[in-house]
Amino acid sequence: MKSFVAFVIAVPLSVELLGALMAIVDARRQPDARAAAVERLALPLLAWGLLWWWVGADGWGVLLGAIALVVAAHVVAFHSMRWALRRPAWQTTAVDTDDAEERAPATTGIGKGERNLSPGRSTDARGVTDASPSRASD
Amino acid sequence: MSFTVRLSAAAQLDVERVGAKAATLASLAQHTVPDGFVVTADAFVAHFAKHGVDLRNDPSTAPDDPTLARLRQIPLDRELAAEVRTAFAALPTTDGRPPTCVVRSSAVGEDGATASFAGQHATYYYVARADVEQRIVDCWLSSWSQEARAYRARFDEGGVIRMAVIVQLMIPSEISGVTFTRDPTGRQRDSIVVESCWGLGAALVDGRVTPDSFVVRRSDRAVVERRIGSKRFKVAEDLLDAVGTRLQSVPRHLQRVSTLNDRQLNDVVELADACERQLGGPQDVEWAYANGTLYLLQSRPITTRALPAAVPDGRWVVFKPVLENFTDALTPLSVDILRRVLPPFGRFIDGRYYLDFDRIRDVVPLVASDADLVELALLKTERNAYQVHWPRLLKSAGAILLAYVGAGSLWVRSRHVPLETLDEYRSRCAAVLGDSTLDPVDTMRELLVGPGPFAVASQFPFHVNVSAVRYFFLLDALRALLRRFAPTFDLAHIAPLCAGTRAMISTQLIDDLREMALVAERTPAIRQLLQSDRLEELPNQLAVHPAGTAFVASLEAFIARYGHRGTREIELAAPRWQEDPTPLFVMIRNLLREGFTDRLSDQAYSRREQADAALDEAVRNRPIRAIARWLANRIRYYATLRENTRHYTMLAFSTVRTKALQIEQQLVEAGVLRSDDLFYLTWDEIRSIDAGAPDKSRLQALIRKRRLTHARRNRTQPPLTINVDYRPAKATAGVFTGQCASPGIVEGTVRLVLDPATDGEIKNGEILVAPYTDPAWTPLFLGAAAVVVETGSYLSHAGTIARELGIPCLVDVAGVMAALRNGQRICVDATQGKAFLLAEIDTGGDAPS
Repeated sequence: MKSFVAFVIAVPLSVELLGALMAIVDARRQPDARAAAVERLALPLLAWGLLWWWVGADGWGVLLGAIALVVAAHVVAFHSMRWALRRPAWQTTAVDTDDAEERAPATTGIGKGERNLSPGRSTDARGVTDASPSRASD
Repeated sequence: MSFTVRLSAAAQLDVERVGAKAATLASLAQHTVPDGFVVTADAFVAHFAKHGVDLRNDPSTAPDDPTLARLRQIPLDRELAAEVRTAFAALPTTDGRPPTCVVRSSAVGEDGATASFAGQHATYYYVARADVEQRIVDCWLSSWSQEARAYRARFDEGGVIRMAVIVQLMIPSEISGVTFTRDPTGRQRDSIVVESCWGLGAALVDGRVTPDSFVVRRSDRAVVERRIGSKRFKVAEDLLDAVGTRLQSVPRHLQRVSTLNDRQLNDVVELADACERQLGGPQDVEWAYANGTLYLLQSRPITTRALPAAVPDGRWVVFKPVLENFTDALTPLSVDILRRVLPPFGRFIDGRYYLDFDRIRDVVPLVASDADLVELALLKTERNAYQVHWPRLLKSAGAILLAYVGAGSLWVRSRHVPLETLDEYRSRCAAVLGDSTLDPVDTMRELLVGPGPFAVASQFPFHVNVSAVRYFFLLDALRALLRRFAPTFDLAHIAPLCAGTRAMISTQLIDDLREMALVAERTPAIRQLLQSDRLEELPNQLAVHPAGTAFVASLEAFIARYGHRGTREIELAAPRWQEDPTPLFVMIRNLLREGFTDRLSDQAYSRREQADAALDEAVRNRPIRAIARWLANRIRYYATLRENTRHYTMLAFSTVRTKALQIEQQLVEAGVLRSDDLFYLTWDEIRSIDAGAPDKSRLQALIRKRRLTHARRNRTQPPLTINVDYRPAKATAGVFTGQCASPGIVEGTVRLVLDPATDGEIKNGEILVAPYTDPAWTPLFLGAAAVVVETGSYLSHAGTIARELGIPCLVDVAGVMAALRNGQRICVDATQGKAFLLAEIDTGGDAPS
């Protein structure tokens, strides 16, 4: 039970610790900001030490597990977001009420080498207003 | 049998011979109608029957593309050609020169009460004598264009195709437009709607411009609504040579000026009303002004069989943070790229971004009715007005915890991101721009999502921007703290207390602009150049001007830092300052005329010190004072972080635009597209063009259709909600209600500004009234006594900058742009969230100018 509680506390603490460590990298080119970031690391480190003291020296596995979980979640979250945004099902859709047709992802024959300007739509107007032909709509 | 007839005599002939358009025009001859003649539908029948074309309205027997190409090569019969030449010769000459004509269709069935065929058949402008016969054939052949066939299949009931052709004198229109004697949208009953633009009306009907729009009450002819459109282009009223460019830029100082004055508007309305009375039904009247004369070009019944717009499924509420930056619809390419980088929690509906209301209901852990929830989503009310919905909170807690574990470290880092380091994002954008393997969609994805999970925070400006929103909660806490422990503290001091940072890029932008104005002030020659009406020519003039070196250097430095900014920045089609710095010149000119003040950042800092002193005096309890000051510091930091990360997020949009323009350039050089066309296609369509031989006429038809749709959407405010029962509070006449974004009370003269790029001049002490604001508007705030914005929220740019400046700012004031006119006096009581109309002191200022 103690290990479980320690793990539950260690997870958000790991988030804070990871954030504080990365904040030092963020400020790497600003000496003052970098020094301040290092100072701010003290608090999560202290909390981390207290937690370790409370759980006992043998409890390092639980704490390391929490850190591993947070780092893994961080990496997975980033890559899954990139992956998801390439999946049509995870993209926002667009609707034109004039056409009453949903422009869902991947419905227009992308990359098939076919002219596919607007499948299923009427092109009910024409006109030219610049230099080439002297034509416009009526 | 004669195949041509003078237009004035066409009324005496059967509609079956001359078509409804010609017959109607002839019957309206008491108005000023350009002279012309009609080639009757009998000529059409005779010509095509002779060449074996089946004229039945049957898609299966319609000529195919090769047949149409063959038919185009067949000239008119000798007798008909001779008749046409004779009729043409009878037309009045222009200064002794043969006239230039318009050749337009007058098909039987066209301009009917149920099917207008508007835009289906061709019209040819600037037609010289030598080309008339070919254009008549081309006009006939447009009967079988894919568009006309599709339209006919939808509306027409068979029969035989017959088309007369009108050959009419070309009017060198300075102003053109359309008048609907009944509002075709049905929004404004008993109103007449007028739309107008510079030059020929083709720019309007092709969607190249957003026209001026006037709604006139039928009963007393009062103008109940006027919106001045963005008329960047016009179709030239006259063509000097055969290859001249017909689409011309409108001088900047005319783009946002009303095309019609009150007298002209009244004349146009009376003309349309007369047409309606004579023809016995609501009319859609095309007209033009040339040399001070109002010409009637066409009148047709308003079509009553328009297809109803579909209502999307689901319940939606508009996404306020985008709306408050600009209310126009996004172009198709912007929508298509953005939708690919946004998760499916919302939807683009008609070019505006909406959130899924039911999803909001699922995740917001508050006990609130639909209407209350809409108000919350629109950032109109405070969250603490509602009780917590505990079951929903528990349900949401899992998702929040997951998000915290996965992305919480960025949340932690954004507490103390060194603001200077954000500039590192520039090199990332430059690298992505230089990577030719990345298309615009990938570019947007790369720049918004970030390069890697352990990259520095400056590579995630969008995420940091979102996380900076937490200052809103801190502000609530500060207010609550001061109310509880410092009742004597004037809460109006909170705004300056939380402002006054020198690190905010938006205020630095104003200060740098001021520096440029100082350079210009020291150089009389540059001051002189800045007074020109043709500021778009200034960069070229400066480049060769011997006195321009210092100013050019300061301009280049400014562009290097802020050049990716501009109005409507989220819109990829919107030009940036680095492409067109003219709006900057307008702002500098304004500064030169209205005089200089101290640096904005210094002013804001000074006000903050005063507010600090007031806090010291009002809060005696030292720990409470320390907490209040800590909260104020944090709010100031997050507000700055939010503005600054936005500056860099816009760099991503600018990079995507540059990529898109590179593609457009290739397609323009290949003759497939024209300038600015690309933004009316989706990304898949652009790729398809690249992959295959495009059908240019179909492509142009599609682009034109989308331009028209886009222009129409931009004329209306988007609905705040869709399928949600929400009715905003009704306004009282003369009283405008909104949200306080920066407190204070001030009286002043209204200055409506629709676009800082074109009418960005404001006198000191005027009250700036705007539809929305973004950083491009910032310099206008300098001289303003107060700011009133039609959309927006406390967090919006207008509020942030007004607080820095210490001027009252009222946001989210519905309908204020349509209700107010330049020259009226209003009192803005931002503290109470209201503005009051006092009096009109200058009736001449009826529109932004």
